[in-house]
Amino acid sequence: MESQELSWRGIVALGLAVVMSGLPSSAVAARRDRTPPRIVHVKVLQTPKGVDVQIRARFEDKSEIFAPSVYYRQHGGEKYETVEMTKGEEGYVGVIPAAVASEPLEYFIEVFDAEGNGPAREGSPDKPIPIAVYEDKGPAPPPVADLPPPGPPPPPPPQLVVTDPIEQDDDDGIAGQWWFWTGVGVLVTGGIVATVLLTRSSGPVDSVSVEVAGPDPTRGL
Amino acid sequence: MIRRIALVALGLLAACGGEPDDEVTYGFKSHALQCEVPGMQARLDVSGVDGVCPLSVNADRTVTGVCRPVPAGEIRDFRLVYFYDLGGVEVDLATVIARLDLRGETRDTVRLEFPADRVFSDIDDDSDGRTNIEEFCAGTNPRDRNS
Repeated sequence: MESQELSWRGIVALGLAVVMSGLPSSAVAARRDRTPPRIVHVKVLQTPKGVDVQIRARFEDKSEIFAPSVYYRQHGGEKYETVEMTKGEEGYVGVIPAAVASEPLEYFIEVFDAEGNGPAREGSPDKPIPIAVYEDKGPAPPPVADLPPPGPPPPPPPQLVVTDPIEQDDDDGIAGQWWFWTGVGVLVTGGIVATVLLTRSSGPVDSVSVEVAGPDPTRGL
Repeated sequence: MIRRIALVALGLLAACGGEPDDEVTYGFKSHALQCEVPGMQARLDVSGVDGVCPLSVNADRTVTGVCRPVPAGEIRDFRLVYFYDLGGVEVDLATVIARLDLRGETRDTVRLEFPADRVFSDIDDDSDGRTNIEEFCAGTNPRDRNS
């Protein structure tokens, strides 16, 4: 966990975009991804007290995902803390540590892509997603038909949120990926180099031409 | 006066004595056999290859030419023969041999330079004590001991 300004990731993403823009391929330039990632996220609206809060999301983009992060703070707090989201089997997950899950929290998700598009956000610094914290009573007792369930009313069900990017990608195929064209460039260059090397260092020849130079046989007589 | 001249001469010698040359050789220039009789020819024989390769004899009696194709893939001996045509009979004047290892040869053209110090010219067909090439240069018949 680290406390950081929000802007440095944007700067890094911008720098990454500048580097990517130098990649050799006119096709890359023509098909460059200009759309921020699409976030599919089930909001976490409540959590047991003192338990790690797992924030899960999937990110969809033509390019590689860059710097997916969860920003969180105590409800109404001023400064956000950051946890990096790591890739799992089913999307990304960022964990808000249990130590801070004793009071209501609020969070938002932020992500860029490798082309520097973004940030795409679920929630925002101004309108974070609130998380209610409740006391965990342990395993629920077997339901009794004629008695109301003890404790607070059941929390609302999670909400599936899909954040659509503002701009749609104009090419969803593999040919729209910058790494595809980079790979094609590497293969073509390697093929040319290999061809030159193979033709220069050919194998043994079947016959040779012999350039002969002989001395004057009368010298020294 | 003589002493002054001697001192000046010594001074000039000392002034010329810069860094010594790397290599100074002394000796006598070899006296080439005067051989102005035209008609000397040359050919190349290659071991394991049928036929001969005619070569050009230059004005300075050196020999040049290109022989192709010579099969590669093994060690081959090359024999350079100097000769002349004596009324339809080929008279050898001198020979030089060299060897090339053409196993695994990847070049299309190989330069073969025969060394001057390996020229064998001790050929005396008429056993008159004068070698063929000496008689050739002298204009006598190397196959007639009376010439």
